[in-house]
Amino acid sequence: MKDHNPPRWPDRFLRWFCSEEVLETLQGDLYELYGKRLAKSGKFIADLFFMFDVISACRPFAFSKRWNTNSNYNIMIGHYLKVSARNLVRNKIHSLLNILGLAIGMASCVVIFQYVLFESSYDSFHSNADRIFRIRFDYYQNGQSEGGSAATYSAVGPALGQDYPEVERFTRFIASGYGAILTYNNQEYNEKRVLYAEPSFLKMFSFPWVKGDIETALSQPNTIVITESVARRIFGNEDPVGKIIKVFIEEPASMQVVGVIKDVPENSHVKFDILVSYATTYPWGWTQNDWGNINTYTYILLHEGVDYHTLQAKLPAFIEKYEGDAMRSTNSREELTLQPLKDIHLYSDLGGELDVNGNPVLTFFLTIIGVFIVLIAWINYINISSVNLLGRAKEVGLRKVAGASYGQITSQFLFETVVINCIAIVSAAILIFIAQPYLEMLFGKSLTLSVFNDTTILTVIIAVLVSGVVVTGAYPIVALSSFPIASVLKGKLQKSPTGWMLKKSLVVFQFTISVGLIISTITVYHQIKHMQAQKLGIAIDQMLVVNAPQQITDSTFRARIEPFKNGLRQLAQVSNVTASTSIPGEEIGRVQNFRQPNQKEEYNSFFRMVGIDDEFLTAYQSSLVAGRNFSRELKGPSVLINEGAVQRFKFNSAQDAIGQSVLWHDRNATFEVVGVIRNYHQQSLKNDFAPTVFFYNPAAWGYFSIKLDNADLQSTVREVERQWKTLYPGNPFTFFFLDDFFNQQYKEDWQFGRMFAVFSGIAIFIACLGLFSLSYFTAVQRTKEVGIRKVLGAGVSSIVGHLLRDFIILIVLANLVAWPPTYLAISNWLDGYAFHIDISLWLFIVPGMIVMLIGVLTVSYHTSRVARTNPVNVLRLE
Amino acid sequence: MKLAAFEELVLLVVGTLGNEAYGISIKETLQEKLGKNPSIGALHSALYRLESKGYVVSREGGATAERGGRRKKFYRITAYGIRTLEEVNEMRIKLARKVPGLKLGFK
Repeated sequence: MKDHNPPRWPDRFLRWFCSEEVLETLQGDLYELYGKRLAKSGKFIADLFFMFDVISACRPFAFSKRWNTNSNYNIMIGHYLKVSARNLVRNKIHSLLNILGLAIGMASCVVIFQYVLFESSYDSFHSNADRIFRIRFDYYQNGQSEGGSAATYSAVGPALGQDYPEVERFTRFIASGYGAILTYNNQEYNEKRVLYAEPSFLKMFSFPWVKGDIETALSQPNTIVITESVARRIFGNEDPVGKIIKVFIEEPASMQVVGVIKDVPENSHVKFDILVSYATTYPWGWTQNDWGNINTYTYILLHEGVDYHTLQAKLPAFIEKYEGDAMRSTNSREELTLQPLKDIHLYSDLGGELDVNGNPVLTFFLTIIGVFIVLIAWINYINISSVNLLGRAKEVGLRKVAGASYGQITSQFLFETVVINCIAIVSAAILIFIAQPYLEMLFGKSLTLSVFNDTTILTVIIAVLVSGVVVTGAYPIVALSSFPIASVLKGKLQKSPTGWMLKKSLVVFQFTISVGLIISTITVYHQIKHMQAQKLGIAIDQMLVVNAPQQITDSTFRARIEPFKNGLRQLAQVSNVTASTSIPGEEIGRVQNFRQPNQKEEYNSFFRMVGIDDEFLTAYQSSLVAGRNFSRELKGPSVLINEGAVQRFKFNSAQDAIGQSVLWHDRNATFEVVGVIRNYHQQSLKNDFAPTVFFYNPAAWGYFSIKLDNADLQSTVREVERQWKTLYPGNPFTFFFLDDFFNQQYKEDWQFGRMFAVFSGIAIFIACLGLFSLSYFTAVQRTKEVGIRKVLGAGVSSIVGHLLRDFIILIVLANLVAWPPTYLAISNWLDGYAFHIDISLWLFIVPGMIVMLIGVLTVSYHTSRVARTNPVNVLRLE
Repeated sequence: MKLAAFEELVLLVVGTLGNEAYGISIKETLQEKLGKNPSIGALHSALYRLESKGYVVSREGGATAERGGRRKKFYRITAYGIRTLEEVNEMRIKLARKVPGLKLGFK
């Protein structure tokens, strides 16, 4: 006997798919062949060929009958399509509303996910993104936090690289506060975003390299790398690599272009136009190994497999090693933290961030709203189809009598669901396509992830579609399984009480969400209005701000400030001119240690520092609480401080502070406090009043603030520019209006409010579409009841009231359910603002009334129509 | 098309084998005479189609141990099958005569 043991699995597979009659001979042939091959080539080959043969036999002729689809079934698909089309056409308006609701819901959901995905895609394009960490720096003075910084000491990077083998590489860069003026062929170009970066910058990050030698780029002083669009702007079609160009950043220099890099993508938190080699900064003395200035952005790349938490645990010892003595002598504490690169955009909000950070609260709420909107749309569908089902009970009963199985009926309804969902998603795609330009406005940035080119988005769309079919298709199937045929055909099934409970709770759910969204929207708007309406403590309107000249080619430039200011004062439209190092609406960057001279060093505290001239207070209409303004005559080291600083210096009162001295720790210089300025809002009301020390600097270098009278702004600006050109030739004249600049800070909040408003509007709209259809069907169902009531003498108004009552109860219920969680959410959000509105009861009542009004208007259209019908028409047939 | 190329070959082989035409013998003949090596699946599929078109008929044969106790299915060409082969050949030769430079005949 030969060994007749072909591999079992293929054999079993053969038996599974093969029909009985084919199996006999086919299997016989296969066994025989197997025996022959076994004898000739051995078991392995025989097994292998057996497997191939089984697979090759997997053809239609061999398939068992049980795989044959019932052709009747396929015919029924055509039938189902026809029936669903007829059903859609029968209730044209409601089908349209239903599909419209679904489409808008799906579109909003997809758009929201598009935005959320974009926000969370920041920096993930770097190939080592998971292993790159930024060093966050925190400073505590006398146990009190002075805030975190995105930059740190320049010495941290090299020291980390040296001390810890886990660190594969580090890179440092410094952001130049000014833009750069590049001169090529006597043409000036102004580029805003300039970084001084080490060569390792190019290797750590994966910004695509275009031209030049990436190995040597940025290693020499006075070399630059530019982005493609800068290269195109300046050099046109010439090859920029190797070109020498005049660059003016802090001082004029000739620099060589050593490379071109692709433009930085929108979803990168490090954005730049020009990279200047880090070595260029060495002559400044504090950029290589400095433990004093907090200005160096430091990133490290960890070796593969290193858990960053273990390195994080070693950092306290690290800072102790290098800064321990210094910290003890100043009673301060420093902390370094590793920030995962991909978390920076959404979850970091430190001093000196390189880019406007994302808003995790916004993305979180948006995600929830997105889910809610699509839920509301699905609920509409379920509600309407459940009412519809009642109307189609006879159809279902008849099908069952004619022999349709439960499976066939469910597949029919599922098929209809699929058809409607597909129509909806196609309409949603069209909607998104149409809305794309408006979405950019809404989101405030162009999302480079588009619906049409990203697989994640496509996955979201498919997920929405599939879950839509499952969710909306489930209800009819469940309801159908409990359909008593006999009573349906006898016409007894009019309504099911359980169905009504479900419908009511779903409507309550929809309106709970709507109420919550309206309350939140109104709160957001109210808060922003509140912030903008607040007295800032200074006047920022009619204020023209001119950036101080950047090209200081000789020492006389400072001397020309006075003539410039005087020239402007001659103009009739100008009421005041002041020079300062900082203007309201921006964070005061300069932070220094001060204390009272008689105190010990540990009383050192951080204060913001601003240099102003003697006209600052007048120009900005800022008032003094005590003391006097700076004066040109009374010389001597003097300062003004604000009320916040009075507290931090621990002076008893503003009056008390006058005449006292304060000590500037780093310079070891004492100044006399001559006046106390009333607190004013340097920044948006999100921030508290920062303790600030004002120095007298008549040649303050930063901004010229020019207070204008009501006048022709254009001609005034032209006149200012003319004077500028004569005094500061060769310097670009850049200006802005301070109120615009200040309100820029609320841009993000407005955007937050706008998104909230748009999407909660959509949510309410969809909910109303559903309510409209639902009220139609319920009103139709109650026509007989209404007829009887009318016969018995009820008036139209009492019937409308009666029919409305049900809905009103639902909406009131929705309000009550919505209030507590919404209260928690908005009070949580408001806590993030130093100056915020109080949550009052009307914040809840008004949205409740609005929803009630919208709901009643929606419902009463059908209700009043039913109430006005002639009872004879409905009751005649009884 | 009455016969696909592969079906025609299988039909020819069934005709040559007379009473001994079943899966394995057909496969081996195809291999020896024509250098074709069809998979069992392809072969059975072709036989199944030939039978359904009426070019061959089948009968069940005896089971042997080497077949694991499964019976063989023997195929025989029908008169209709032979006529079809003739028609196909005739048509082919007719067409081939119209190709300039093509020499017909046996070597």
